[in-house]
Amino acid sequence: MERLQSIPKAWIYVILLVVLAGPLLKPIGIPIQISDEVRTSFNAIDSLAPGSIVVFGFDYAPGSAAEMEPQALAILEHLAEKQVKVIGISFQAQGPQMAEKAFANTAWAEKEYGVDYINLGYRAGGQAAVAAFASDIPGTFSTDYSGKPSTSFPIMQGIKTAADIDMIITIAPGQPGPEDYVRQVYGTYRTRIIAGVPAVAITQVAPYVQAGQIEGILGGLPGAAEYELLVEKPGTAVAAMDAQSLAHLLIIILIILRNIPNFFGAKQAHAQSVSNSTQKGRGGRS
Amino acid sequence: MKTTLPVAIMTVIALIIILDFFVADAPSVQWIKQSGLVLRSWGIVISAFAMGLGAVNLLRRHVVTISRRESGAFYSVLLVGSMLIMIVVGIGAGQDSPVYDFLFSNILSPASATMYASIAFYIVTAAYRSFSAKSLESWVLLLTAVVVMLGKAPIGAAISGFFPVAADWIQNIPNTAGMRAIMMGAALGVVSNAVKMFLGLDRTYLGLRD
Amino acid sequence: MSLDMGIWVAGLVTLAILSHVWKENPFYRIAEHLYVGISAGHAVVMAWGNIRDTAVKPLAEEGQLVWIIPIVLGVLLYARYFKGVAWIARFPVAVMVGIGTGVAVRGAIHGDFVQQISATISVGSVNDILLLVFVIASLSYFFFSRTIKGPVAAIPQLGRVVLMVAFGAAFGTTVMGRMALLIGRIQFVLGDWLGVMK
Repeated sequence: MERLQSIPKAWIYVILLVVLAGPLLKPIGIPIQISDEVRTSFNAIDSLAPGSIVVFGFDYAPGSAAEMEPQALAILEHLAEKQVKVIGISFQAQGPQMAEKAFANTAWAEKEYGVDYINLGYRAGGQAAVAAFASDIPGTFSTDYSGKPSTSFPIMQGIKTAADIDMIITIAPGQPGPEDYVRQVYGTYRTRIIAGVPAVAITQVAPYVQAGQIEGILGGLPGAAEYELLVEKPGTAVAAMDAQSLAHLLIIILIILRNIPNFFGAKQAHAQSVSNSTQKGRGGRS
Repeated sequence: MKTTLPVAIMTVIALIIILDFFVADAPSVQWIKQSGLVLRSWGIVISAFAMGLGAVNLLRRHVVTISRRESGAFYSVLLVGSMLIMIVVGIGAGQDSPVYDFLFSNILSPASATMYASIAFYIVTAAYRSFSAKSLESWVLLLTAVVVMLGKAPIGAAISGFFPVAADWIQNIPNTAGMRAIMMGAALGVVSNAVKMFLGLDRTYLGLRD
Repeated sequence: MSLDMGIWVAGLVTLAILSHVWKENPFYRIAEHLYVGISAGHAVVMAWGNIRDTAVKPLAEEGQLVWIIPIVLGVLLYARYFKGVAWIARFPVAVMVGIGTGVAVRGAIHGDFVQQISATISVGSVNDILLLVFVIASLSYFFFSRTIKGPVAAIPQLGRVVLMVAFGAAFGTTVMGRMALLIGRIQFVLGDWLGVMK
């Protein structure tokens, strides 16, 4: 039993890699259930009429792309099918590159730039830039990503403020993110917001969802996998779900191993844990 | 002049932007709306200039390392060289030039993705070594984490329909309540901090520590 | 296995950064320094794009002189590097902080406070009642900085438990997110690079 509580670090790393790589090489096929929050988001986007104007916030960077990009791609496929118009923007400096890549790897590659979709690039300033965008879209994004005047494109005709937009979809791992769109856009213009967030942020945006400020969310890689299934285009997120499941199981098993002494014989365990923590200097309380 | 004027400028600008939110569309107060609009667009330009500060700081530090031939000068040459290539190519030839795209897609992207990904190793060992429950609260924390981990991945539903339902409830009720309380506290903090700054009691943003 | 040079470079960079988990080494340091240099260079290019498109073009092409002000303020930020005139940089900082504070205050009051209260008190189901009770309990845990005694003490105690549930949920989703990022890298190595994954 004591051995199970002192597995060397290197072993844990190897076990983790095996647990993650195994199901990627040989999928188990654990069924994926669609959660209410993803279905709500899907239905909201599905309700858009053809020709609706959607602002798509590419507010993620390569560092978080493993979680965020599958969300963006799945939603973009849905938007292409709905025949809406997409204005890509970014408040994250590496976002415009993500937008270019996402448009090129989805059905949008077949559509007409400047008419059906556009990439307006990045604006600095964080939450203040989101506020500037809400009250003056052509002023804030005066050019597209390549530097051409944004108002010269047909898709931008008649777009002045966030009131002229039917929906904002932001894919954001941090700030500026959905919170900033809620504070600066929803508060004044009541524009519908759908947010793709990393797993880490699911708990933080929950109050905005409950308050109705954000209409729906996609949470982390499972959120992307569910959306891929809803648009019937299973991709990297669906392929990753078995590994995600097993990784969670591994962590739970490790936590249980750590806490076995706390289950049985509290007194004896306490003494043991104190001696462990003095030996290793890191057996802190959680 | 060196301290009072910046505080006054900061306060006036902040108040204009706050007021802009509350004033109606009456013509007599249009100047507030217009000023707010102009100021916000200035913010983008000044913030963009501020982004260059990081690059200048890096350059200053690494150029010193290179010129003094300190240990690690080789790495500094790589850093400064790659930064200058990005700047020259990006501004000269544009971001869609093949060199720029190659460096962005094949070095920046995988490096950044792997940096974040490697945290997974640390979180696993931390969970194993430190997540020891000894009080009621720590048991609550631990059990919640386990239910959420099961409920949020397909494995939970495969074991029992209880897990996704329980994870959703945790997320939507107690978690929402706790996060909302934190959020409301932080919002009050933003306001009280702003008042302190308007009154000149907090001037740390000007680099003053009084 | 991929024959694309870019994929190979990306694969080697991935391994170099990952090697740090084992031990600090020269390959990691090379990849790390290239990453920092390229990121900083990219930030400068994006920043220049913002300055050019937002301020310089309207000034040069349409003669909108007002853009001189933010450009001058932006340049003044760099006064900090010159002794004697470093204090001048306080002016653009004051303008930036003023804009940021104004935007943050109005956003926080409305989005994070008023609308949160109205969402909490609109009660229609058992869960809504629980939410209301939990929010009040959590707030009371923050606001009662003194130890309270008697039956009322149960309220902040409940708040403490609610917060622990919130932190537990946050821990669970953090694990979920970090695992997803590592899975993404493994998918790249096994799929895009080595081609052993379907």
